[in-house]
Amino acid sequence: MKILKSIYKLIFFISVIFLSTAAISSENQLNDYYKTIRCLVCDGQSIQESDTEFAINLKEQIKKKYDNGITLKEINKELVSIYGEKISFTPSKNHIFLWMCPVIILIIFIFFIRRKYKYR
Amino acid sequence: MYTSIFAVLLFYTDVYKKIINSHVKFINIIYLLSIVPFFLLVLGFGISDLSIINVFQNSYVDDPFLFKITSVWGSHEGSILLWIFLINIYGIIFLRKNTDKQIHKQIIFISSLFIIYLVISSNPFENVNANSIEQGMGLNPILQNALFVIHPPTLFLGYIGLLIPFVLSSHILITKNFSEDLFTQMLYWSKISWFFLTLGIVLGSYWAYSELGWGGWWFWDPVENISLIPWLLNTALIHSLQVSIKNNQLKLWSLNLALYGFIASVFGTFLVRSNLIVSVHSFATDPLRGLFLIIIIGYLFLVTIRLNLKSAKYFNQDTFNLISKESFLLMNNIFFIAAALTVFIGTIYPLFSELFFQSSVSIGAPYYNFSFNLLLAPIILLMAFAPQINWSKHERKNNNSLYIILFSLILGLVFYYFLSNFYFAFSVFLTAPIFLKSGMMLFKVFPKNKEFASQWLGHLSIGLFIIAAIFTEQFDYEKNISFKKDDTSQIFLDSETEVVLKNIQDIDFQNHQKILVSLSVLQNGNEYILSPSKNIYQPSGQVTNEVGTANDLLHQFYATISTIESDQVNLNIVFKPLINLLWISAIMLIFSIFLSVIKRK
Repeated sequence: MKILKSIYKLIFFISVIFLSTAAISSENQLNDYYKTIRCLVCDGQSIQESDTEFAINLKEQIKKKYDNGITLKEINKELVSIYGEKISFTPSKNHIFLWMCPVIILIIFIFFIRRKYKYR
Repeated sequence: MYTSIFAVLLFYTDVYKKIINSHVKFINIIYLLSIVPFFLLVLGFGISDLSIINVFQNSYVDDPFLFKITSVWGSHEGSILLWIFLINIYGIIFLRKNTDKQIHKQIIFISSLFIIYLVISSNPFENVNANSIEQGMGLNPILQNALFVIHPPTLFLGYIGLLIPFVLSSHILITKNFSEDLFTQMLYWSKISWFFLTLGIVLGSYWAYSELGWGGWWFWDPVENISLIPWLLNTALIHSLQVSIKNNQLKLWSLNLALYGFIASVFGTFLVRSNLIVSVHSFATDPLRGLFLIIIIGYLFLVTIRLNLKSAKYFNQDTFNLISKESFLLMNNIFFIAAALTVFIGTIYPLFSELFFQSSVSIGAPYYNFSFNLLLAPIILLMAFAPQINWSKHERKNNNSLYIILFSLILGLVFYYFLSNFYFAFSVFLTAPIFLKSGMMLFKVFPKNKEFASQWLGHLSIGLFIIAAIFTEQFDYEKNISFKKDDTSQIFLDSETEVVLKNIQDIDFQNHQKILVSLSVLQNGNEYILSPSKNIYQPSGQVTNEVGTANDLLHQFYATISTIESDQVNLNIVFKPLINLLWISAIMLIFSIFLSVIKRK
């Protein structure tokens, strides 16, 4: 019976989440965005996790702009132009080598394997 | 007194070659001698001997006794001493299994490298003028936690556990003795290291999540990354050793993995202590320390290259079928090593960027998530099928893999249709084969043969872990709320859930003051009590956050106080679905390796 109950609960939660995904998204989107912005006065935390003045002010500013209808992409561009690239945890497209490196490493490895080991 | 101990230690590093060759007992004595300073430092902290700078800086007379002891590894000097202590503990235990003097010579050599490092650049026993101080500066409050008692030593046990495969591997390469016995020993020790490494990482992650109130369980912080690199390499090592032992292939490959695994763990220590990267884990740093550690790493690296060049001719080309166990294990290795390399590059890339492009850059979750999704997704699919597939020397049997994959694809589509979340649906597709195969194992294979139990449990828990992690990340929801003090109104989290402030209390403890906020969350007639708090520590006045959580089976409500103003409190409440499944699967994973270690005995 306990298992049945927990299955029922699971189904319930999944349906609640399914129903609420549409409703809660805007605040969640903002919170997710905060996680990609570095708190420059802390040691490597994002402004979402930090309680410093810097983080709180920045969050307020972003929220104001977001509520005025400016998209997150534009906000991000503005932040990068003010604080430099360090502010964002997402490296820009200038660092193409970095983004390519998982693929490059994989290709090098496969090449290496093909030379070193024989497949029948 | 302390300086004389160091004189003795330095003395033995000079003359150890002479005595070590005479008798095994001397090796034991050397190991025992090297663990003495650690106990002395523990004693120093225990009795709060404030004439030692390190004790003065990291401990407080009124701290609880347990935290006085754990202050030993709260500082850089103390943790390096712990590192040396653990190397020698491993040495003592390893001596019972293997009395080969040549191997122990290497362990002692590496241990003495670190001892020299300790004496030159970070002596924990330095004295201070005893008149000027009364109480000590206190252990960093975020470290005053029961988990800090075990997290660093476990993680260190994991890092240093890789030393044994390292010395075994270099021993094999030096003596050219490729006997199966040595490889089996290597597997055993790398499993032990893997056990502690996983436990250490999970403890650290749980600590950050449940105690420090960072709101998540993984941050891709540089220090987390450098513990992940040895873990990934060690995972690859355990898998490739299976091929080396059972099928006599990939031997040089495994040996190299063992060598680089230990180098990676030393490199991790170097990176944290050298002030080169910014991390939430702050250590008192100093460039000299970094320089010395890089010399040690450079030395180990050169040894590795030299051993490789000398022994390449002893290995012949391995051949195998594309669809066979060894081929799948090789693929596992490729992807795991590639993942380790991407983490490595992501961690040090900001340094290069600053040096060469004059632009500082932050690399966080978006990059790592991208590369991990890319690299680990194929592995997860393989993980379901690899355990039961045959070696290429055997016949291939018919199997139902194609049907399973097809079925999982349909299952994934069904989830996508209902939840309209691509990531979760995709992870269902990837992990479903594991669950299906587990079901089959449970009914078909286990009644006859329990040989694969640990392996199966390990893979199953990884599957559960992925499901839980993706589900939590995708479906958590978070709200910032504020209450006026003495407020009795309700705040709605969503249409089903409401939050009420119960009370705010001030409580005094031995070395800190606690401001405790009690909340009550009501959801469908169930009440959950959350009590997050802020602690203000003596003597530094530093403030830490403590999380209030309430569980609902596998789900969790999670609250932290962001700020307390004169008339109101601001809180952050998160609903994290399935988060407990994540911890359960992590425990299962650790248990699975435990099973496989005791099975070998």
